[in-house]
Amino acid sequence: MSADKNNDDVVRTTGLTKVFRDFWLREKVTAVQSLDLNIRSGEVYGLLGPNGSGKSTTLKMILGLLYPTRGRVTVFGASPSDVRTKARIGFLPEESYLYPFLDANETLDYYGRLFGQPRKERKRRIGMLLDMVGLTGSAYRRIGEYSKGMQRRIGMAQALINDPDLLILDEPTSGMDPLAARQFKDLITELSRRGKTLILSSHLLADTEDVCDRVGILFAGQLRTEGTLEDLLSQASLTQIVTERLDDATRDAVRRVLAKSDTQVISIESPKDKLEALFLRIVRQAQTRYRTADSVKTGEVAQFLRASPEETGRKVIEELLAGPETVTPVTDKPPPSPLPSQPKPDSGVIAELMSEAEEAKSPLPQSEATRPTPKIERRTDEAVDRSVIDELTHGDGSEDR
Amino acid sequence: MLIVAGVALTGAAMLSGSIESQRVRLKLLTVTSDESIAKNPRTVLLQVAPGGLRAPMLTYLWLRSQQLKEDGKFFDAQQLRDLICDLSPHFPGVWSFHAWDMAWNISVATHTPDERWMWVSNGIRLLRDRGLYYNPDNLLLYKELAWIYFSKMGQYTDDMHMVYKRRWAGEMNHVLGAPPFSDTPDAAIEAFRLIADAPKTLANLEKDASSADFVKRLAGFDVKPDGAFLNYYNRYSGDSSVSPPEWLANEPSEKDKPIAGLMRSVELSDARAKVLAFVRRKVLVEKYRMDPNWMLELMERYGPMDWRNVNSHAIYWATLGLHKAEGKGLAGINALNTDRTFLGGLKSLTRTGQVYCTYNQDNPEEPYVDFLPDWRFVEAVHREYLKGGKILVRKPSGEPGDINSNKNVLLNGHMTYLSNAIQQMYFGGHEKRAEYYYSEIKNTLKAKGAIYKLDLHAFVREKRRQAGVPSTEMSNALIGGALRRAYRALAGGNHDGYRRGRALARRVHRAYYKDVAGKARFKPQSFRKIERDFLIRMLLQPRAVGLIIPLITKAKLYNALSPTMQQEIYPLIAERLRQQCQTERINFNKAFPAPMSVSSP
Amino acid sequence: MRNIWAVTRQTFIQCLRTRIMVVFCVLLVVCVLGIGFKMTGDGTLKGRIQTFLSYSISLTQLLLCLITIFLTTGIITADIRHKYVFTVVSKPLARWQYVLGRWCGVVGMMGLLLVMALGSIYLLSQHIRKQPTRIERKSVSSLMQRKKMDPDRLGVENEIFAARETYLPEPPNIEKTLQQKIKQLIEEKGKDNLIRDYIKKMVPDEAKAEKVFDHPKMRQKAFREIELVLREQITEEARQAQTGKAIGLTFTGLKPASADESLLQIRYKLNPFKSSKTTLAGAWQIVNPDGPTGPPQYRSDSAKMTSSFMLDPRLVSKEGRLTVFYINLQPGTIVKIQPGDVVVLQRVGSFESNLVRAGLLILLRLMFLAAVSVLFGVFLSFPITCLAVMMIFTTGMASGFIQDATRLPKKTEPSTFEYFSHYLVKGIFVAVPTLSRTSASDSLVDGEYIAPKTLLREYLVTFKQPGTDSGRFWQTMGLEIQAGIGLRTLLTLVIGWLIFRRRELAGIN
Repeated sequence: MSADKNNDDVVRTTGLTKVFRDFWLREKVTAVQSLDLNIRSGEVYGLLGPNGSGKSTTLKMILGLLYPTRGRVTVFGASPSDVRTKARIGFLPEESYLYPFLDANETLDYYGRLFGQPRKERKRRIGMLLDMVGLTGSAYRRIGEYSKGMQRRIGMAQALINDPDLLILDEPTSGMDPLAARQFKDLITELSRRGKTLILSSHLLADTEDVCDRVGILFAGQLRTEGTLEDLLSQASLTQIVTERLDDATRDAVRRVLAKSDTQVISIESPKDKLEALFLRIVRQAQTRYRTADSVKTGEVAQFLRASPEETGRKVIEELLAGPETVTPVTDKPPPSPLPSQPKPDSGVIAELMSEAEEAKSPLPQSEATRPTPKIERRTDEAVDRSVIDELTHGDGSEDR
Repeated sequence: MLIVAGVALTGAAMLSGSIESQRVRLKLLTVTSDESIAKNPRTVLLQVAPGGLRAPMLTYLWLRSQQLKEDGKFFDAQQLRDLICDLSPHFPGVWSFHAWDMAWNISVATHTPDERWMWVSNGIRLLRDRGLYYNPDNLLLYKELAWIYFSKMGQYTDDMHMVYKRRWAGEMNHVLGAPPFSDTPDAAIEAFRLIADAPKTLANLEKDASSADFVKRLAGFDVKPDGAFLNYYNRYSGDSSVSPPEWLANEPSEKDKPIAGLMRSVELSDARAKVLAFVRRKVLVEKYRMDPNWMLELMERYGPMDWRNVNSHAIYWATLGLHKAEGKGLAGINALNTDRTFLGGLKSLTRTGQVYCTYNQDNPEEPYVDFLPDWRFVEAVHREYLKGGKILVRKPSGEPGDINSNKNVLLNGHMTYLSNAIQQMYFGGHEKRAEYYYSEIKNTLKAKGAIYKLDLHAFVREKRRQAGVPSTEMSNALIGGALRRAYRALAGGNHDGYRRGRALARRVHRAYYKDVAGKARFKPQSFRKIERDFLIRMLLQPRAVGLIIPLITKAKLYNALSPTMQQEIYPLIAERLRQQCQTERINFNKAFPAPMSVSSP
Repeated sequence: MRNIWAVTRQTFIQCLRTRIMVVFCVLLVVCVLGIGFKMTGDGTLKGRIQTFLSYSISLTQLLLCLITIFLTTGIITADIRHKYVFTVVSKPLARWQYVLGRWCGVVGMMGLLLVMALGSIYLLSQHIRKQPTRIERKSVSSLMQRKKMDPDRLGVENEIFAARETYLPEPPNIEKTLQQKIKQLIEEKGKDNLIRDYIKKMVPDEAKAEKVFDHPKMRQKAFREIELVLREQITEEARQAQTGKAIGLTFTGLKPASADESLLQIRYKLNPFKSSKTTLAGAWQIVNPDGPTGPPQYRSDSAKMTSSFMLDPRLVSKEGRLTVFYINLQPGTIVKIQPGDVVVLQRVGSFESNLVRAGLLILLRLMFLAAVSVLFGVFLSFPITCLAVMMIFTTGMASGFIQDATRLPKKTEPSTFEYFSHYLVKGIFVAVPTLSRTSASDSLVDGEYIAPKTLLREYLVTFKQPGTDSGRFWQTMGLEIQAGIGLRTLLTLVIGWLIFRRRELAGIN
């Protein structure tokens, strides 16, 4: 297994092509064309692209729900329809395809049974997963009565019931409020940190950029570009300097200095808080005052999800979780990190984190590096912002931009 | 699209209104939809609910009913047929077919009397209670019903025909009892008039203070003036026309004593009679769906029909059908428009019109029944023959024609019938009447031929010689008549007459017995048994054989009997005669001394 | 195994939470109770119970069949339509496991319903059984004395609440007669003349006939044909009785008379031959080779209508033989008894065990329908699947009728259409099983024993001697194999799995 993780590609597609045909077997749509993907063990891979670009189709072929017209897919070196392969996969479909007449408990029980888990283990996992996704209070409500967000959460829980090595998330944050989406992303990060391989598809770049190690952008069934976020997002031609607030005189001085070196100043302005970050901060603050049963614990990662070693993992989680509750009130100081889950660095924890990271030889350092701070300022991409705003305010928040 | 559909729907709705009214106008519907909904929601539901599936459903049911019948499975035959009929209630052919199928086909496929009777009565009920309810003006249904009474039950083709006759007599005996017997028809008709004229509703009955009081008393025992009343009345009243003597001997149980008292009370006899008439009318109308007024009309026109006789019912339904379907009154009905049912029934009444029921200990529903000839209907038959004949020979101009012409297809039947009736009356001791009809043959029917030149005695003898073996009804009539003549003579001390009568009876019996010996369904009895039964009846219920005999004459007759006959009948008659002697203060032991081998108690 | 059980269990829950199920269950309860209390049959207690059993069991079967079709189809097609199947098959669940699990779940649910329905039918029938017959009612109210033998009660106990095996008579043994007849004919005419006459009758052209006669092989063949014709003729004669003559029938394999007096009944149907008589007089004489011979039973019967009467069980010989003679007493009429028209019924089991077997028969139909629903459900939409399965259901139920209706006429040359419809129907019934062969309700109504053999036949296969209308291939094989419903169910499931396995569950989004 460790061999899988470290050396082999978890998912490999070669020349993967999917052509949909109509009833008369006439070719109708080429959904995926000659796709070559290599997803390495332990990485978080984002499949990006607009609607209809073939993301879902690719994922479904990886899952064995669709059969390739041409080309090959292997998962853990085997065919996707191999039952042993499936036992290592967790899948969250793009919408809740769960039985509406079951409650959360029964749903998880059912899927647990499909993995042949013994009763005791199943019960333990269900309890923890429900806790993790914050549905303990609604465990006995039928899923048909759930809100969309709740359905996503239970969907995530079912995807994790088998503690998968490969987690496939199709549009994971669609239909979620930003708070939930944030928690979700944290969860993804955490899972990745525990050595799981994740594939997620999204048309929301914001989803992916926070968490993905590598992304591939699909358009019209073809992979247009692929690489680490760093590579893809860094704008080598620009340099950004962040300082404390400068008075006009200093600014002018800086301009002059720059002018001397013949550098063109594109803009000088006060950094604006990102709406998503602002929203999260405000909600988190409110939460500290009005604790609701479900939302309090949301975000705790179920224990059974393997990481190595367990102990360390739990501590980390605890630390991670401490985040929302100990978040500092907003100050006029420009926040260094809009990530509320990032607690005030505690030397002990960091030490442990570091040690764990080294021990597990997981790509943790890398994810730490890809994480947050420096990136946030870079997030000027319009599409990202708009999508967040649209979802939150229904187009009402243009002033915040 | 929607608009078109809407228009079509509206159009259909409007059209269905007019179709409905046309149905009413064209008499396709005899009960209007509203009425049926009010009266029988099940039927209406069955009409509407299956929608377009009604036809396939009917087909399936029909197939199933016939398939099961062939397989000898009748368990749901009746309900299936009910359902089929309910699905097509205004289609008389369906009712008529299924009633016929049950009464004629299913019944003979069963092997016990209970089952046989059950299927015959199922057929009757299907037509009478349901078919005629939906199609009260349909002649076909009346004809089919009358035919069951006349042919299935009244004739002799079914090996269990006696079961039907006995069951029916039992049922009607329960409702109406035996009619009073007299030489003239009046007594029976007057007795029935009480029923026909009885109040139609309970409210009307209670207008009469004494009746109201009686009804109130009944209510005290939780008995309503309906069928329940009849049960108690028949059991405890001591009315010999309904209660068999066996019932009189039994004392009522403690519980029943008070109500038995009410049934016997002499003071309340008037009120009781009124309530009885009311109840009988009610049961006839509600259970048997008969019209007492039409029954009375029939009796007045044709003679004192005994309703325990199936032939009376054949006549009733045949004539009522013509009345309802074609608006004919009795005066307008003749032998030509009812197939054979009406005239056949009437003729049968002349040979079997008198019904004598004896309680059957083993099965009270099936009393022993004897049928004896009733000459009181001879005149009616003669009249009907004449009426039909006159119509047949009427000239196109309307002038009456010659009854003896060959246009009169009824003439042969008429002559045969009258010749038989003459013999029957002659042997039965009604020589004057025989003489009268003999003259009718000669004068009214203008019979030609050498035989009609003979005098009555010679005519009868010649006829008997020609006829050979008489039919079942005829031989019963002849044997009964001859025995009656013989023992009447014996009672009067006329030994010669006795010998001649008895010899004739024996001869007829011998001939008949030989003829039917191989046919199980006739089950002829030995002459000895017939003679013995006849004697017992003559001594105990003389009016059953058309006689009224004082006790003293009975004693004379008894003492004139041979010792062996005395020995045979003494145990069967002693108890009843002892009672009669007690009431008339006659010394029983002297009047009816025990025969040698039977020691006097 | 575990994950199949998971799907089965989940199907169970799903069934229980489906509205259509509730509707059908209410309908079932209302119908069974309604029939139990409303249906009066022909007025006798026996008729009432028979009517109740007949209608309640057929209705239960019909309703359960319909629920099975709707539920299975609904579950399978909804899984695919609403993509529930995505999450399910992306778990370590092979497609065959899904198919089998779903099928087991529905069948299990239906089994449960069936047990409950049959259980209540049983209890209700026992309740009705305790009701008094007409005679018993009368004797209670002392209007009528209790008869020693109440036919209604006897019928209830002996003909319904019993399981009676049906025995067909042995084919008449005619070998001796046949040999005699042939010998006599040869003696009369000589063998060659006999054959020549026969060939002349067959081949009118005299010259040709001579040619045929000269051929020794043809002569042999002709002689065999003569024998065949004679055999048929004699067999036919053995089945007929002129007035005053008797037809003898022998039944073997019966249980010899024992202490419990196993009940014995003879059921027969008489056909007047070339006569329109509707009532036939006759007598039955039962002969026991090693025991007392019963008195003749004189009976008059309706022609072509089934009738029956009880026999003294002691008439069965120690070897289980029973010899019956029908003596025709109807003047001027020949009575014919077709094979199968006379059967002897003997009690061999209890009503209860028969009910269980009847339940298994019904369950088998449900199993088949569930499998067909799965088969179509995995690639068709709900309404189309329902329609298809309903068609198969009705075709299977009406198979006897359909096959009879399309049988090739024997006396006339069949038309093209007749050939077409005959082979079309034959083809259809290669795939569609006959669902109506053994009727659970008919068996229970008549107290007919459902033998384990019958169950085996329905579940697995039948081997039988080829009939007249089986094809040449089977005739040469000397054996006809008919797959039972159970086998077909399995096959259907396998096909369903194969289709489902190749089926792409997701389409274009």
